[in-house]
Amino acid sequence: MRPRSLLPTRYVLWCLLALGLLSRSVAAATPEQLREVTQELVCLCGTCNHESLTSCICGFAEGQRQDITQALDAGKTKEQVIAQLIDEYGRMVLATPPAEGFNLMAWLAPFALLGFGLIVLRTVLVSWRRSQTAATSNPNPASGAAPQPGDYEERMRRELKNYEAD
Amino acid sequence: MIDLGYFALCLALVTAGYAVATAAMGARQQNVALMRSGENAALAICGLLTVSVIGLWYALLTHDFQVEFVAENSNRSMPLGYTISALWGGQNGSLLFWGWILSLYTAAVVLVNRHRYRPLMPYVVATMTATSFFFIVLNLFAADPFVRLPFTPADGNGLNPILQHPYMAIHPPMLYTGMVGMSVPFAFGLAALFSGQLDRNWLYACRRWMLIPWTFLGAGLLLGGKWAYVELGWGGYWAWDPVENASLMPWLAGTAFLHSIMIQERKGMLKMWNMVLVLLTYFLCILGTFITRSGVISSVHAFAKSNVGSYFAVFLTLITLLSVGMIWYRRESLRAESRLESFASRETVFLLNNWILLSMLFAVLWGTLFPLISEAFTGEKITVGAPFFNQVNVPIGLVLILLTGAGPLFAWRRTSTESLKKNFTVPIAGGLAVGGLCAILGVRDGYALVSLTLCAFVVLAITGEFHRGTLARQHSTAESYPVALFRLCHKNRRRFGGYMVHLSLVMLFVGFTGQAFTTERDLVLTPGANAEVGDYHLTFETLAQKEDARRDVVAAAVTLTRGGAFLSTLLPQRHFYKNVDQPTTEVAVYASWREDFYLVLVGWDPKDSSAKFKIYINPLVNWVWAGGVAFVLGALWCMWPTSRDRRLAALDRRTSQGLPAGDWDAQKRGIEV
Repeated sequence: MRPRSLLPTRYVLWCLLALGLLSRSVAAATPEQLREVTQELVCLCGTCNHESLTSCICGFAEGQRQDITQALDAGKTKEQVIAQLIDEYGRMVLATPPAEGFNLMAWLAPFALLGFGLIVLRTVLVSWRRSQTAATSNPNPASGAAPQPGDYEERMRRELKNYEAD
Repeated sequence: MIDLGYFALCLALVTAGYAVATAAMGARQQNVALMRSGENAALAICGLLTVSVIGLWYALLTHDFQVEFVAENSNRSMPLGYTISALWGGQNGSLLFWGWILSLYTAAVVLVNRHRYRPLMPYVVATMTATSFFFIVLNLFAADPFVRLPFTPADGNGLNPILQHPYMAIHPPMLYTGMVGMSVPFAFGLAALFSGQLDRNWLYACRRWMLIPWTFLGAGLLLGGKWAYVELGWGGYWAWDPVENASLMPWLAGTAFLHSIMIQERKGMLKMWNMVLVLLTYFLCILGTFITRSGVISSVHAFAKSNVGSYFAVFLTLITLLSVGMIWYRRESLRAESRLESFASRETVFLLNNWILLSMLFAVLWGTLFPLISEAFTGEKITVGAPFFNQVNVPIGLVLILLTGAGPLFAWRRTSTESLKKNFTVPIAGGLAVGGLCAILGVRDGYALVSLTLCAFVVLAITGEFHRGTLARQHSTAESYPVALFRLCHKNRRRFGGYMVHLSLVMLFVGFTGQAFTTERDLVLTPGANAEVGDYHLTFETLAQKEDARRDVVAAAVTLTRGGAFLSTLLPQRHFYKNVDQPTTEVAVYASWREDFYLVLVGWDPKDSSAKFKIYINPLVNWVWAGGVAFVLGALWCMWPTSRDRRLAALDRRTSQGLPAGDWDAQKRGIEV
């Protein structure tokens, strides 16, 4: 067995990458300010699949957070920081599709379908109700003789009886 | 063994071809001998694929690194458990595993239904063996797990480190058992369409065979969440990753189906709709697999790119054409006379349930596919991340939880105003009281307030159903309350098992709501330093490192106390596997019903041994896991065979054997409610 130092070079390198900037992060920007920016962004390191930049713990995300902290310290606003990142990486860096142009569809379609579904549902229910009223004007014994299930105990007794076969 | 495994796979292909042909011909010619031969061939496929899987396992366990799959997904230092689970750790092996589970399902369906659903069975066998045929083709021509390298490496690459975790050993089999199992209801649905036997039989079979994979899928989803929570280190359990979404979608469709079939059973309505739902559920399973395996959408779960995707695209197209074509062909028989006696009825609520579940499904599908759609139209790559899914699905989810409680309070046909008042007063008052209390206690998040109010409403509504049912039973039987409650649930397994699942959903939602109150902190501590986070007090004791054959482990020891009382010593770790650049994360969690203290070791400075931590205080997460357990228990309660099931099966057996069953039809009518 070859001798090993306490912290093998392989991951000394890695953690320097992640933490090398530790000493100079005497941040003026508060963690909340940082979070306000990072929660709108994703990590684009390529291996951790668009994880939120707030919570991603890969070395790349650490570096990005350091950069953003520095930019905030230098007096840049949240919008300026994000705009700079978009210049650098494209709008893919945003966690959600920007609500403008074609991408507005992303936001509208789910609710449009929700509304459309409700309209279809209403139409269906109304037409079913109509065929019931049409049928009762021509009374049929099955539905006519059904007890009014207003009373819970009556309903329960009926259903228990239904299930007695279980 | 490898050759034997490969040979068995080849034989399985021939057998599957034979099974499809004989079962289909048997059905067309009503030739019982051919049908039986097809069923026996289905059993043979199961045997052959079992041999094949054993062959691959043998190669893994004997470290036969000349086999490419073994060299890529295992190595000598992996513990036995992960060497076994490596079977589903890579593309080719997992597809073989998938095919094997499918063959097990097929064999189970054949054996259970030797004397049941006879008009449907040959079509069921034909559909399922045709699916098997597809997977065997895939394994032989696009994803051969038995391919040999021209040389024998001394050691393998090893399983992807993030998969070397106990939850990852069980989460994929659970999920596969769920996804693959959806092929059974699909097969029964298609069989009903092919045979034209669109009575209740297929529906009865479908419900039972849907419940099993649906439960596995739900459990698999939550196990995946648990794995992500403790292994990925970002403080959450659900990230709306495309692959998570891919397995959530069939679960949503299956849930919609399990509810809307009740309308068909009771009133013969929605025949067409239920057929669409059952076929859609399976379609979504295959679509999900296509998304995962083809690499069209990037994901943490993405397998190595291969042409497997194009096979799935063809398969997806075939099942779509077949489903749409057959529904069109039988559209007249699927037409049903539909009537509604009152808008205030269980029927209406079930339709609302379908509406909200499918809306959620669409929102998830849309968000998953939107990056593709957007890139196709605008040429720009964009991200649809977790915040999108949360913003869209939270309001939809709140309507869903409302229906979970409101639905059971409506009676079939019509609900009188008095009984509505009687059933709703307590739950509404209780819900508002809880909501008000939360507001007074300082909950300011709007969604969280609504969610907690609704959760309380649902709990009161559902427990009210248990309570009233028990009282009604006591009224007529003079049993004690606990006995009456048990017998009530036992005699109405389906209904009260369903309510148990509804209660488990409340537990899940309570857990989800906790996410609104997550707090997060970054800390850099030198050994011996203290810090306060929330009302926790932590002391960073020391950083330790050890090495074994597989990996280097770096761990921080942190003592956690609250109010002076010792809680736990937490050991968050990073693992550096050989040949892998990125370290894996092992999170340390101190969990209670109130909240989780979640500690991640982010990195450390070799110079002064200071360490950087990320800390999350995640309220109510344990409710999610407990809800998962409750979900499985409730679902098991639902699907447990009843004496009615046994009597129906016995009747079917007698008739199929030509034995006198008395007035069979009358008996069956008496049993089938």
